[in-house]
Amino acid sequence: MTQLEVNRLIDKYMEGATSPEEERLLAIEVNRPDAPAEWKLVAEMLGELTLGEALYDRTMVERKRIRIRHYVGWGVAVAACLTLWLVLGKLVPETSQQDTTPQIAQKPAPAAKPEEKEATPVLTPATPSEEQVAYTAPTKRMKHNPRRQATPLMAETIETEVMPELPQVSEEELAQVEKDYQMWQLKQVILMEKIEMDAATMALNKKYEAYLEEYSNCIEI
Amino acid sequence: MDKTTFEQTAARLRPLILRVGLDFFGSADDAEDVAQETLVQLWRYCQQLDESRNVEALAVRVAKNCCVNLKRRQHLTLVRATDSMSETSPSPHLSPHEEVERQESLQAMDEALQQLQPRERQLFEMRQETGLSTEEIAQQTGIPKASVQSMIAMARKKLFNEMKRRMNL
Repeated sequence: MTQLEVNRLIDKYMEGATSPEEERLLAIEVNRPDAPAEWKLVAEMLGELTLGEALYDRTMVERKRIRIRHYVGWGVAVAACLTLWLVLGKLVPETSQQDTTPQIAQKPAPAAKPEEKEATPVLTPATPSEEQVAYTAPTKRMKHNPRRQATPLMAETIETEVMPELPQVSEEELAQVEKDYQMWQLKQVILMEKIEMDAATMALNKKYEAYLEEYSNCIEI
Repeated sequence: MDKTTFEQTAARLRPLILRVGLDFFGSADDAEDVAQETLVQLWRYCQQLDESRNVEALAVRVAKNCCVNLKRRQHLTLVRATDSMSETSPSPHLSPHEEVERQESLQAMDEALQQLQPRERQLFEMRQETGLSTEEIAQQTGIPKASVQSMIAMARKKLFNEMKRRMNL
């Protein structure tokens, strides 16, 4: 608030025309360390309780704003992680399968076996034959790439476990907090407009009184 | 308000005060501290009040004020602890000179209040302490709204001028 606005509000306070909300707003302004001496008197008149209430309300509003940012930040981060996970989960196994499939296809019998059994030829023979070497290379690659088998499971995990944790808890609260904050902002705007209108009305009243006085003086003369 | 009435009122108000403290601190221990301090302060206020006043509104205001004061004290304790280790940053609490000034100002306010007419003083205090709106005060006292407003305005102007005179401003 500007100094002029605070002075208008003080005038209104002295006229007994301020609302409790305006008095709380005024309490914060007149309790600033650099406030003029006359404002300090108004601060004393407003009392400690008004200032305490004003600071309490302001702190709560600030906290709500911080909470909104916090929730939005986490929401965005989690959404980004999930998207990345889904994209990587779909893309990487496709490329690895493309590499392995033709090589496995050359060997019909072991390709049908499970992965553990496919890996055994690597460990057991002391002198592997040419066929075994040609066959073991792709299976090694498959063992080092666990995503190939895990991809469908990951998608299930995302749908069943991770997704429900994200929005259900925070969305309602977020909406409520957002709504409260918007209401508060709206209230502040209305308050400021009201103050200005009241100040203008007071000025008009004063002019009118002055005019009446002048007029009565004229009549007396 | 006598002691027995206050004890009954305090039991009724305690959950409300605890909720105010819990909303602010998010901790049951701090909320309990707030409740204790609020009830002590409320007793001081209620000794001067009659039973017709809105004690709930006053209790909420006092509780909010206690929350802010407790938070400030916690912050000061932290700053003092840091200062005692570093001894570089100035302490934000009031200097002895400022404290004396503040006490003088409060005393001037009390004395100036005594000079108001009883009705003016009552309406001024209802507004200052319980934070009621003009309409609510008019409803509670049965005085027309316009009269409440003009009497509060009169009280404020008198107080302001008296304090200005006493503080040599």
